[in-house]
Amino acid sequence: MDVGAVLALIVKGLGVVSTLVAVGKEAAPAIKVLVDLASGAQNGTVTDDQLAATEKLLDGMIEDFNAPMV
Amino acid sequence: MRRIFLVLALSLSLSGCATIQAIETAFQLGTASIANPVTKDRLNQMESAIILVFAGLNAWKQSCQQGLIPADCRNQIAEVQVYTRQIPPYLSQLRAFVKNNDQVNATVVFNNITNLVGTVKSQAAARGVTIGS
Repeated sequence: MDVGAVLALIVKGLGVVSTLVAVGKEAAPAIKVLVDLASGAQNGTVTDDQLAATEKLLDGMIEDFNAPMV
Repeated sequence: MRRIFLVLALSLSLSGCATIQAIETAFQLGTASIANPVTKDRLNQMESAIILVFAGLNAWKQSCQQGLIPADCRNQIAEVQVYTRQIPPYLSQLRAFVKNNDQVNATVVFNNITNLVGTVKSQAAARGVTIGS
């Protein structure tokens, strides 16, 4: 676990969250990502369940963006 | 009234740019190599970073669909989707390679995804959405 890289990602991610909130967008998924990253760093390694949850969330977000415009 | 609308539209547009900029800087994971392998932790970090990228892209798309930014955003997003639609197959491959500890192929696909996200960034920038400095 590269804790330094995780911390850097969390710091940048907090900037993303604050900007999403400022423009009135859904920030909950981004917050969950950061919480999971922090808990993963605390535990020393990511579990298969955490990885599966991250992958499920990412797949959904990619699917949302890739869907045709309405 | 018209002036208020313009100020609001500009404000939202600039906020969107700031969002993308902040998200772009979150995606700095470097490249993979045999000396710098793609572990499950690294895969999780990469996927988390891409989630943050797509949080911004979805905010851009949502603003566009709500008519909060100029209408040509629809074409701009469609052009970026050409690249984002290439990401899922690579992700599926990467996940399988990492879980099987096939580092040679994982490294290649990891770097392909990193390059693809970089292309998404530059394509968005070419269409007037400022990403990074």
